Amino acid sequence: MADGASGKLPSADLDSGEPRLASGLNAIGLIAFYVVLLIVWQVLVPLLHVPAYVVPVPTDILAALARGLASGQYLKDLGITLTEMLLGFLIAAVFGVLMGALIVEVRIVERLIYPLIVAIQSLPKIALAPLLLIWIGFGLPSKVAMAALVAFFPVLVNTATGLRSCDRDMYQLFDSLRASRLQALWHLKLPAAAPYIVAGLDVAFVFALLGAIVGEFLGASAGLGYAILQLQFQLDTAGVFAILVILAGIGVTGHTVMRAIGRRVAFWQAQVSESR
Amino acid sequence: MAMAQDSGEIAMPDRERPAPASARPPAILLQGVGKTFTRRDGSTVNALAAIDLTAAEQEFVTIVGPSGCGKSTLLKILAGLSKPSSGQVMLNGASVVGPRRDVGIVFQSPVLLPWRTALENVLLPITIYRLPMAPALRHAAELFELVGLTGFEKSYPHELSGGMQQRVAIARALIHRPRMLLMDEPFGALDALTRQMMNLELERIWEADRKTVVLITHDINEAIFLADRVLVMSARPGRIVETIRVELPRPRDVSLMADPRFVAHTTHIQRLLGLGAPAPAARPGA
Repeated sequence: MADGASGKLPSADLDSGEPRLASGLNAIGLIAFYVVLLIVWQVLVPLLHVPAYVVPVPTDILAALARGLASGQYLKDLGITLTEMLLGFLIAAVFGVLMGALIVEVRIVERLIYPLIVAIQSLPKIALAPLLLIWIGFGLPSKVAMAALVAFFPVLVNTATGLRSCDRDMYQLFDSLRASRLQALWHLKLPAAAPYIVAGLDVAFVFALLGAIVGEFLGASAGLGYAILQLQFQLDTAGVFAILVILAGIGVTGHTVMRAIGRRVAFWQAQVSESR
Repeated sequence: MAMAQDSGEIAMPDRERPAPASARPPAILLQGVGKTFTRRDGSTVNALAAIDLTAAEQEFVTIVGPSGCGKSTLLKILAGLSKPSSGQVMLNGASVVGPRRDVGIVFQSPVLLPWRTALENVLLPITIYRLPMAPALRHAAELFELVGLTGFEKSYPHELSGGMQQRVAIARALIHRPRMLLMDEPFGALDALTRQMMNLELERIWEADRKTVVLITHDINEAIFLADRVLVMSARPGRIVETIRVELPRPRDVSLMADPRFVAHTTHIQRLLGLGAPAPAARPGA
C-alpha cells in the first residue's frame, strides 16, 4: 500500500517531551513576569504618593480579600452572583441552541424573527436592565433575566452559524442516503455545529457574569455587584479590587472549563475553538 | 422492451452469469436523457443532449470526457440526485425518481464525517437506513480487509491520507450491499502514483464482488484500464461520441498499459477528445 506509511497518527508527535518542556519554561517565565509586575506596583504606589483609596497596593488587596473571605460575607455574595449568572447562563444556553436550530430549520421562523434579532443584537442589551427591573422587580429573577438576555445572543448566533457550516458535499451524501431532515440534523448538522456552540457558550459564560453584575448595580441587596457598590461608597478601594479578583477568578474558571469541553468536542477541528 | 437493440453490444465476460442478459432488464438504461440549466440571467445552458446509455448487470462502464462535458451531471442523474430535463432513466428495470438504496455512490472527495472514526463512517448508511448493526459490523470488517485498511477502523479521517480516505468512502458505498456502484472522478484529487495504486485496487475489489459500476473520469488511461466499456463524451452540449469495448483480459495489472491494444485505445480516445489528428474511421480493437 503506497499510502500505508502515512497512517501513523499525527498526534503521536505531541507525546514527545519537547513541547511540554517548552510550555513549562513559558509558564515559569509568565509567573515571573507577573510577580515582577506586582512588586513594581507594590513599590511604585507609595513612591508616587498615590492615595490608597485611588490605587491600593497588592498586599492591601490580598488582606481585604482574606478579611472578606474569612468573615463569610464575600462567599455569601459570591453564592448569590454565581446562582444568578449560572441560572441565566443555563437559560441562555438552552434557548440559544433551540432558537438557533429553529431559525436554521424552519424558514418562516427565520423570516419572522431574524429582523428582530438583528435589531436587538445591535442594541446594547445593558440598556434593557432598567426595564427588566420594572417588570420583574429587584430580586434574584431580574438578575437571572439580565444574565440570560446578554448571554443568549452569542449562543444563538454561533448555533445558527454552526448548523450552516457543513459543505454541499455532505448534504449531497445525506441526500443520496435519503436521510430524513431529523437524521441530517442529528448525524450531520449538530455534530458539525458542536464546536461553534461550545465557542458560543464560552462567550456566553462571561456575558452572563456581566449581565448579573450590571443587574446588581442597578438595584440589589446582595451579590458581588452590590458589594462593589457598597465598598465604593465606603471608599474601600482595596475591597473593590478584592471582588474584582473574585470576578476574574469566576471568568477564568469558566473559560478554562469551556476550552476543555471545546477541545473534547472539536478534537477534529481545533481552529474553531481556538478562534474564540 | 428497449433492450433488444443493445443486447448484441453488451460484452459480458465469460464468468458465471446468473441468467442470460436478455432475460433481465439492463442494470442501467438511459434513453434520450438531456439536462438544461437556466442561468441567473435567464439564458439556458444545454449540459446534456439526448444521452442513450445501457449497462448490463456486473458491467464496468467508464465515462471519459473533458471537464465541463456534463459527465458529473450525468452521474447525478443516474444517482437520482438530479432530475433530467428530458428522457428516461431506468435502473434495474425501475424508473429513477430519487436516490435509491441499491446504489452506492463514491464522490469526488471522500466526504467523511470528521467526528466519526473510519468504521463509524463506513457504517453511516446502515445507521441512516436503520439496518441491523451486527451483520453490518461483520460486513464492515470484510470491507476493511477488501480495501486494505484493516487496523485503521478506529482512525479518524484527519489521521488518514487522501488515498486512505477514499478507500473508506469506497467501503461506505459498499456497506449496504448495493447492486450498483456510481463513482464520480473518485481518484481525481489524488497524486498520480496513488491514483494508479487505487486503479489496481479498484479492479481487484471489483473482481472480488462484481457490481455494475459506472465510473466518471477525465483520465483516459484510468478509463481504459478499468472498463469493460468506455463511453467517450464531448462537451457543450454533453453527448456520447463513441462507445469503445475494451476486451482486455482480467485481472489487469500495470503491464497492460504497454499492451498494443491498450495503446491503440488510448490513441483513439485522445483523437476523439481532440488531442492530435482527427479520428480515423476504423475503430481499433473492434
